[in-house]
Amino acid sequence: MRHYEQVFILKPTLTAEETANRIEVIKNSITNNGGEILAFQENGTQPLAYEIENQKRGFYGVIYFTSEPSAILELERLLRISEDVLKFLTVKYESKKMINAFQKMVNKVNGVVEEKPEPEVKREATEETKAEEVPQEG
Amino acid sequence: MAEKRKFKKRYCKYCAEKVEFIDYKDVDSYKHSLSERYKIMPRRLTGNCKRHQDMVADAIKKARQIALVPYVVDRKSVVLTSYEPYDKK
Repeated sequence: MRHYEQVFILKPTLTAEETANRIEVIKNSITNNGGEILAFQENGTQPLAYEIENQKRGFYGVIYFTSEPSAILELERLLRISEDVLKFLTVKYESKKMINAFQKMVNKVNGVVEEKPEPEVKREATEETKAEEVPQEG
Repeated sequence: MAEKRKFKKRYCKYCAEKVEFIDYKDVDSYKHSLSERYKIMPRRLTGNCKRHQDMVADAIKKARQIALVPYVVDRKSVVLTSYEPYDKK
């Protein structure tokens, strides 16, 4: 099993139901070929950096998953023949560092908290109290 | 001698933050390595080390494929597509 990331751009002219259907089809093709979806991120319609098929905007979706290398062929074939997909990009994460970064991104999407934001809060609090104290002294 | 330098202090920003991996979907993380016309800036101007410059170049090339960063910016595309960062909502 290898770690992959699939980004795709759907046409912005589709309705909400249609986009949901297209996403389901892509997800099913991964799971049916023995893959496991770890996370899915929806980035909504965004302006494209350049026009694709006369479209200036596109619906971005990112799927993080693990699967066998052979399943990628089928997935890319499906994306290539569907007319509603403007562009797609499959990225493989191989080295240890990249997989670590991959896990961080997956956790971020799933809302798993690893970081400790406490020290920052404390600093801000102390700065505020200092700022309050100064005018009182003056 | 009179040549103006765009960046005065030159050090690798990624080494300072100990970045191990640059995500191509996060455009802001490598925006300072792009010129006004979205060309990849050379190492002598940004101060990136070789290791991180390779990672930046890789990320930018992937981002271009998926239309996050433009390939070319000419008069036509400047007017047509005003480029916005990826995470802006």
